[in-house]
Amino acid sequence: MAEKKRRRMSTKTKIQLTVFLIVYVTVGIINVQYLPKSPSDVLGNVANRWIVGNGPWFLQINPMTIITSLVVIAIIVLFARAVYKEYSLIPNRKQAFAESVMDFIYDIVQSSIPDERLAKSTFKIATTLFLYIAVANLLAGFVPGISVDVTKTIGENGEIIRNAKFMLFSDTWFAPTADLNTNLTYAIVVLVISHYFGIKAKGFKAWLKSFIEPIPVLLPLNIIGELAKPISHSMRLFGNITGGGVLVLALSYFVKYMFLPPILWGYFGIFSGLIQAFVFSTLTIAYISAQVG
Amino acid sequence: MDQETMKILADAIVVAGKAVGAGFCMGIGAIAPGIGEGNIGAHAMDSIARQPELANAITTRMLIADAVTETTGLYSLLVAFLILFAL
Amino acid sequence: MDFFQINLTAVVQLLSFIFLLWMLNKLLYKPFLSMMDKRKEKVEGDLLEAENARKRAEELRKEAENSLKEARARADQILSAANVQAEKVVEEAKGRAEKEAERVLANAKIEIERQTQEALSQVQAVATELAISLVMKVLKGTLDEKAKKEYLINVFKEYEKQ
Repeated sequence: MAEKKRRRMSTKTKIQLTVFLIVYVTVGIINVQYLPKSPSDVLGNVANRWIVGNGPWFLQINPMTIITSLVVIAIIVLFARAVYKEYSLIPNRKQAFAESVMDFIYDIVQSSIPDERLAKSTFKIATTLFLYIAVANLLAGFVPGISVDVTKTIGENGEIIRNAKFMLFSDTWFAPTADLNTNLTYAIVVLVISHYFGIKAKGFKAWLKSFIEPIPVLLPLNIIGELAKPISHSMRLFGNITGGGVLVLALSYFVKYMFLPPILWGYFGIFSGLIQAFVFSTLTIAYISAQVG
Repeated sequence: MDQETMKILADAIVVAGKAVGAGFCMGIGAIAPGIGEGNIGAHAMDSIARQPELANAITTRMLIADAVTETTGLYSLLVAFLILFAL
Repeated sequence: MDFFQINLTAVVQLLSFIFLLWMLNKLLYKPFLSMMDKRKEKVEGDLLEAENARKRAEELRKEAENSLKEARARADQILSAANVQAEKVVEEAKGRAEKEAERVLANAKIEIERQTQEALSQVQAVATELAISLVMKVLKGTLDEKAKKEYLINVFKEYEKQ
């Protein structure tokens, strides 16, 4: 099997692979020379994020999250454009792949939401979430890239000073889904959309009435239950990806910043990432169908 | 005991507390998800053995259930991180 | 607490999500959903067509059965008619043969009678002639016994020759 694949590889691919491996090994050796040697130095900054700007929340921003999410969006949009350009009744390979993903989600949506128009909107949101989270998790799971090591010190006036150190190929890409900003935004979007669809499907009065069911005493519990949804929804993804990232970083420290073993291990990168993306979109569908139905 | 020693001792107690707390948090928090996922896996195996033709559907649902069950374990992981790095 | 810091990034992510949703809606979902509808329509059309074809086949089958039944009935009729005809033909042939035989028989009888009559008349004529000639000789009286005998033999010889 492997020999067959190797034989099918073109010369161009071989050259690219060789260049990549040379760069990879060189950077690994450089990393071993210059990066911190003790595990507490490596894992001590795991909880820190590269945040630019000081002051209130709307003046702070996480550049790494935005960079990686833009990369993810660029990948997805380029792929979608490649599919769109050659869209036909008889699919080619890319289109068959995209259609199998969409078909998979569309089946789930159709079986849980009877209304055709709401089902289509739900399908669009769930598929977008799935594609975004899956590509982000895969990118962060096993593609080595730029990583940022942030040391946090407290200055004289009690302000937090962050020193960012950039490293190439010492860690996998930072996943935008390992940032709670992304997850919480998406979970709140899902919550708002589910209630909007609920109003659309049932009418405003029936939607209000659903809060005092089965008895009016349960109104606070219902409200708390609704508010707990986005929290657990986002925290699940966040915990998985962050924990996976920390484990990958620890593992890569053990092998001195050579990133082949984490790729081969692949649990947190490939398996867990895809499963979490799938779970996130499935829960999206479940929440929306619970409001609509 | 002079002031200096007191300070060092206090720091040492804090570090020890952090380590012990994080360890317990992660260790105890991993028990329940482990049991739960084992149950899910066992029952999924049972049903696959009973109806092998439904293996694909059962596997998909098993993975969703696994992910949901895992959540509490991940919360404990998060809390362990918080204790270690953010407290 | 960098983990749980919510800041402007959330807004940026919201905007990027909306952008991604819009792009994918244009590039992937619209063609996919329209193709799904098209395929659904096609499948429904095919099903309708198949149902129609099935109905038509049923009709044709009934028709064929009917025509087969008709043909069988007609064949039976033709067969019985042929039997009757054959019997008739046989009867006719028999009758004709009998008639023919009778006719031949009658002809033969008539012929025999006619020949008998002819022979009789011939014999009569010869005998008459003989008698007449004998009478003539006798009447002449010129003949002796020997000459009479010779004459008679001659006459008979002549008669035999004839």
